[in-house]
Amino acid sequence: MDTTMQQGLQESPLCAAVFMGDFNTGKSLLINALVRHDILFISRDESRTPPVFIARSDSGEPLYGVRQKGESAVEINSHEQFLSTRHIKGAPCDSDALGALVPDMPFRRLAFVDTPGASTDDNKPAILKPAPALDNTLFVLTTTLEYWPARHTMALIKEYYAQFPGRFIIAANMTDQMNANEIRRVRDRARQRLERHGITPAPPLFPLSARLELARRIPGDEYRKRIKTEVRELCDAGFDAFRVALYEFEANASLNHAGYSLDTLLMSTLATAVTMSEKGQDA
Amino acid sequence: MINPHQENREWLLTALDYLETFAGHDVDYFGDRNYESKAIAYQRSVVNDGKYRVVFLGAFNVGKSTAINAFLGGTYLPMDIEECTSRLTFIQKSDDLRLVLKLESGASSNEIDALRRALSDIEADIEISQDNRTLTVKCPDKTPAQMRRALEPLITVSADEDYPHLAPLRDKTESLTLYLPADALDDDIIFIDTPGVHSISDTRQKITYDIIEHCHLVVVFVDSAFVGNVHDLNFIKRIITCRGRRVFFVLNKADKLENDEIDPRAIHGPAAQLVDTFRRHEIPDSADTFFLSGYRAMAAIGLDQGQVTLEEVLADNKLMIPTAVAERIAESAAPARDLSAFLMGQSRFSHLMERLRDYLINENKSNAILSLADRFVFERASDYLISIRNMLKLARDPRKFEELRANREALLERIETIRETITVALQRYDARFRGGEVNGVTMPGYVEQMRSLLTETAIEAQVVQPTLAWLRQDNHLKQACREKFRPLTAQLEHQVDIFVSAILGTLNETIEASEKETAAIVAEQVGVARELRANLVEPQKALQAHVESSVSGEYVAFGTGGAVVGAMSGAMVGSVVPVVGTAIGAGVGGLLGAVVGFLARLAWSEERWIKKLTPLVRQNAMEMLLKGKEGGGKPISAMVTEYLENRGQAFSKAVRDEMSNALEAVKKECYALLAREEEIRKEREAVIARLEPKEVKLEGIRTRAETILEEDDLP
Repeated sequence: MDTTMQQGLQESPLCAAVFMGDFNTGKSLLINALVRHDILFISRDESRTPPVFIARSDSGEPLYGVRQKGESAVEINSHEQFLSTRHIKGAPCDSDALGALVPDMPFRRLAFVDTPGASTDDNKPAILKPAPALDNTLFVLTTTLEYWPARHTMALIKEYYAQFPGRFIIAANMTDQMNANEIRRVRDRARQRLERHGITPAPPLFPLSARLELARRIPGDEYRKRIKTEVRELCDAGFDAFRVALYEFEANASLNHAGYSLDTLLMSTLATAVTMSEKGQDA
Repeated sequence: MINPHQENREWLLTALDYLETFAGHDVDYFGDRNYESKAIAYQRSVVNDGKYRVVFLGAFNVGKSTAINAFLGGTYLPMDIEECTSRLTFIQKSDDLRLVLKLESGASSNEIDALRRALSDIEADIEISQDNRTLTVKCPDKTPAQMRRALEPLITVSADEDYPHLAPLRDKTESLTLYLPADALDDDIIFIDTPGVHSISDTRQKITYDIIEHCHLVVVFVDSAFVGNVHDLNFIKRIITCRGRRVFFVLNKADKLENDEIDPRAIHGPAAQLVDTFRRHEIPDSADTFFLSGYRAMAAIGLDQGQVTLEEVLADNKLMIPTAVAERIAESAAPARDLSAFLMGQSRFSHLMERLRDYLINENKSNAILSLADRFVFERASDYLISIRNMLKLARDPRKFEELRANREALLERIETIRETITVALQRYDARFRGGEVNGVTMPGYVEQMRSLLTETAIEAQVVQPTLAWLRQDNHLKQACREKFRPLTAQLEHQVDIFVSAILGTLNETIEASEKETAAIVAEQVGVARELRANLVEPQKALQAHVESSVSGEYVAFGTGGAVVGAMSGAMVGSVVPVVGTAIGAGVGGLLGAVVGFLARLAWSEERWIKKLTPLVRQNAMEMLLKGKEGGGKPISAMVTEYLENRGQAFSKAVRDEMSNALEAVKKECYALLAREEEIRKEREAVIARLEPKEVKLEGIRTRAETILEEDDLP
């Protein structure tokens, strides 16, 4: 990526977590909750952003960048410009990647990649790029606890499980919309279900709520109050466990590794991510 | 005087009788006997009972059963947070509450005992018909809860685990009808609850799809938080393409939405999204759209009837009761009443209920039933006529046999021509891939092309020099020294990355061009083969197929061909890319090790640093890209070579497989037809005598059905 963007990084990212899944399952909200900033655009509409790359910045200020199609440099943008870079209702978008550097992000060397929803039909990888970072990438399938065992989600799980053994986890979002006993039951039966479909060892599934997590640091938030205590506790615990899984992944990534340029990390994970979501769609 | 309506109805019944016998037993029927005869039998039972079918469709868990319960005013149907309904459940009005199972074959005493044991705690009374094929379950208390309890072992997904010994009975259950005295139901209506369309189980998905063609009104449920996802679209398209059916769309779970998102006029929010999705996918949209929270409606009904307590409702997280409302309820004089009113109002259930009832009252139901049945009869009769007519044509005209045989032989020859054309295209592909002459032009081959791009001179110019130039720029050198040379390694890596990407990009262009050209030829040829196959039944057309297909030049016929090429690019990302990545990582690691030795001498001048660093950068770049390191794995050039070879071979193989699959299928069918035609030839007279009455009969049915169809309104 552009040197200005690169300079915002004191340490180059070491590894990445790529978030994939159907649109509207809350990938962007989940990343916002993890980095504790309202970085990404959130909408129920099917608005397709180009893939977004998020890493820690040590400059104190958030930095936003947009890369136009066919160019190698990244323009620095305001947050407003950054947020408005989307495909809206099928209209094409001129840029092929977005980047954001976030100060005080709780992950020092783990970067996040938000991918377009799996129901997206454009965004094919432009050309083949080398992928140095692929082994250091964790794939996070974002789905909802309510509908996770649907035919199409199960097909994606099977695919990822085979492609990324040991580097694949499932975030089951919107857990706050169920009752506590139901959450426990679905959660406890998830492993058994996966194994019945030949997915052994089953990847971990974390029931969580990105919306509740974002509200966690807002005292007296109405939405958090509305959710029953037991459910809230289950969601918070699920999110904490999820975060710990990411911390562990970050810690286990090779310690004497030099890190990657933003561009390398972004492009390599992206090519895979997009190909994978296309496969999921075909299933 | 005969009532024309009655007359049509009786005629439809006899027509359906004939069609059922034909599809079920006739030697001259060549379709899916089992499915067809069942579908016809069901359509006949629809005309017979004259009941208007309303089917509830949607993803599992989207709340179809909950909404039906709300209509019925009690929790008769089992509901669960996980995929719940596994079978079709028919719901009909009656004087008393009972559950009737119709079985495909008689129930054994073991099976009946198993059912009794499963229902022992509600002391259900089970009546068995004389032939053991109808079981009637009655519950002494006649409460919805008891009925739900009786349904659990029979229609839920979890029954497979919870009541395994009932599996034989469940498997032979043909239909399951719940009779109940609900006010909301009219005598002439049947509600049908279905398993979710996105079920992981193929059987459950099929059950649901199969019932659609027999229903008069379809109520489609979509989760209002996920409107317009591709998975829902697939089944919505399927419903919409079934002509002559009215559709209601219910955006359920509206409790997840904010108030300002609920806009039934579809100007903004999920309803607008649905309309927009329809427009984008060219689905004609003439449907009514409703917002609903079936769950809230059910809670309100439960509260009113005293089935659930105020505390239980307040503790239910899924109802999403806003804190302000909860506080108001706490201070209310009649909390249960107020909460129920709030939930019912917010559920918007009454809108849907009123509209549906209104629609059902005004709809000419018997007319809709007859017109659907008539369309069904017309389509079936036309379908069955085609093959009868073809056989007759043949039997009546012996010269046709010779013509046909010649045709078949020509077709088999054409298959060979197709095979040759594809083989030639593949040879051309191989020449481009391995190097050789194509159309008089010598092609270097993928690997040779890579070698011409990945040279020492190119590496020097595009990797080494730019890296050194970068070092000279700004304060990069200083910064690199300060930060243990990590920025330098990152820069080198970046340059290698750009360099390799550009080479792969160029190679990819060549590869894609030659794959595309080959795929286009194969697509066209396989398309011709498919068209030949489609025209096997009408042989006179067969020889024209080639011309038509090449004129249209469409890829559509080559359905799997696209997939082959698609799978290729998937495989390439999976196989080669990570390896190249590791090589870059390892190479840069080596540079770092070598440079660290200089760390103590920070006092060097910039030029001295660059002089010292230059050979290291060069050596690393060359090793990484071209030469490989001693004991340190393959260089990138070797990996790309391997990848190029694998890709070329994989493409050839995929194309060859695709070709032989397609061609073998046509040949096989051709031989099978020849055998049958030979048979017809030998017993011409007998065959004509056998087929003629069937043709007359089917034609008669088709014509009359068409006449009825053309009259806009049935009398």
